[in-house]
Amino acid sequence: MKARKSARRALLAAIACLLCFGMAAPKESVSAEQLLVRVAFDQDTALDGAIAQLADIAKPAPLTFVAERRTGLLIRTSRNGYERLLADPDLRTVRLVRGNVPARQQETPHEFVTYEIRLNASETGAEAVAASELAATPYTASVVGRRTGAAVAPPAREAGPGMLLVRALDTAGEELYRTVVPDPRLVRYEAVDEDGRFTGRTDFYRTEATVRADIPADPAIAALRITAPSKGAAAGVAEVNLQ
Amino acid sequence: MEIRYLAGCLRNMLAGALVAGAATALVATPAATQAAAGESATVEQMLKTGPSRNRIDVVILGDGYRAREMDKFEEDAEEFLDYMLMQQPFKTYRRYFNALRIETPSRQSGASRPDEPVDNVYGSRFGCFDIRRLLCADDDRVEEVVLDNLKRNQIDMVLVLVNDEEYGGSGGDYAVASTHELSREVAVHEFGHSFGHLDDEYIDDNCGRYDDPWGFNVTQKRKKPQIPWKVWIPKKQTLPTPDDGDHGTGLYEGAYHCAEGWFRPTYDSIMRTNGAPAGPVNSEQFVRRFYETIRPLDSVKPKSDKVRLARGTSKRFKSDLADKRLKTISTVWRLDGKRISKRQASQVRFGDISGRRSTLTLSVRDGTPLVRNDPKGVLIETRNWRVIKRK
Repeated sequence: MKARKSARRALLAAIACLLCFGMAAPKESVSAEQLLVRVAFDQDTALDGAIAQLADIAKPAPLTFVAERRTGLLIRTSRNGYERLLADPDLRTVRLVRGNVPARQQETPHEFVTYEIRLNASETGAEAVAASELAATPYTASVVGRRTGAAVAPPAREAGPGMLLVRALDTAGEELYRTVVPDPRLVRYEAVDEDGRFTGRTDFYRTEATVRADIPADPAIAALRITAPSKGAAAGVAEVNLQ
Repeated sequence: MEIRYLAGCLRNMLAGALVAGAATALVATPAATQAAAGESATVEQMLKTGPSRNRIDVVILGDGYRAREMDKFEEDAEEFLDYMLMQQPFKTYRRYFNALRIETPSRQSGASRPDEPVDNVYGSRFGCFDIRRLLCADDDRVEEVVLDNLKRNQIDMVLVLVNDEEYGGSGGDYAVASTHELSREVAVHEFGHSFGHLDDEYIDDNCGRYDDPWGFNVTQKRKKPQIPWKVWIPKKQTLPTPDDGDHGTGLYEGAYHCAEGWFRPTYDSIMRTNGAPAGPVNSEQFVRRFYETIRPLDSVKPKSDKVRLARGTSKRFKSDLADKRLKTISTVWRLDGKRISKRQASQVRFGDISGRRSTLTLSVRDGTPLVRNDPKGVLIETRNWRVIKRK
């Protein structure tokens, strides 16, 4: 009777695993990115329900059932999933069994310098160019100022529309650091009608603007390369040598 | 609370004299205007909810306000801030915001027009790049004043508020808005772009001109599993959703400047119509951006991640939440994975340590219903301590 119950549970677990994650029954090994975690609920919960609940808590991180133990369920998940499980107040135990959780990146101990980089395309004779003319407008760059003291580690910004990617390079052209800053050239105009509905947009790019980028005060940094990231490609804007 | 940052006593007196003189007979030159901007800036804290290193700081600069109009600037800036923080999800998260205004008196009121120059501090003018309603400011002057007076972590959203009742404004690195009611609403839309990383949901004659959306609130995908906001779409929703009225969150055709081929999540939103609510998908994105900018925890005690306990002693560990009143925040303390507390503080005794050392984990999560999709886990913060038995 007991053996049949156990076999039924194992079968249920395998089905739940396949249904939830479309994966074969896992082994008790973890890759570098995955963690083996033991989880226990406050109350007895049916296995299939428990797995579904854990998968829901960890979502969108992957979670794979490994085994049922007397002390809880063994599951595999990513660091992201592990942190989601840890943060769930309804789980009695969330214990890391195998795998490493490296410390989150601490605030960098670097001193930062705010570089003021002047972008210039004033040879065009225009105060600004339309977005459609931007690709054909070459900008030059020069460092016009350095501010220290007030600079702090910049927030982690995502590259995207209206942003510039500033890469700090060494003398061999290897990237040492990168930061994303708002594109100071961009001026966006959006028209509205009397009902408040937006009716049109026009983007302009100033032909003279100053990029301000917080870069570590690292003497190995020899140049800054500024690009406008878009859809995986990075359109070159300008490069400036610091040495 | 008033904080004054002055370049020096002498320069301050000189700037004061220039400002006072402007009211009588001084004819300002651009150079003198710039000097006034750089040297006579007064920073006023409008809203302080916590340390700037863990807050979203809104900076409002006033342009076209004379020295005697600073009370009006204060009122206009408060009005803008109130308006913005009354919109969701800003309202729910208002204690994640600080606000500052920088007072820099201009010699003349208002903004310049093509045929009517005005001597104001930031050079705000209508008709930029030959568009009548395009109100822009001199970005170098704006940046100079902001950087001279604030720390870098005090600058998250910048608005130049122009003392002019004509409708106009612009977006970009910082927003510019006149005091016209519509302008302040457009400024919130602009923050949707620059801070929220949201795309336009309206249609105009620019279809095809833009091909690089952030993609949180616009898509070309038609099949539900590929729609970025699929978790918000009810099971029985028609896809694409008929664009003849509000049918809830779905897939409405007409977005990102195109009438066809691009879709938006709601019938209307702030990214489509001025003054409209953000809607669930845009609100979710705003909240994720709040948490990409700040963390749920202001600080923890003890600061060191290694704590030694002698026999018979115990140690109190404490979390300091950025917003203690936010009801959707949950806190869990775990010792070697075992939950020991759901409160904001926890106590560990020598006898609690298994073997030679234990790991204490603090997890804070905002379980807000405003966010259903948090792929990066930005709504969770985890801190660890190693608690070691002292021999």
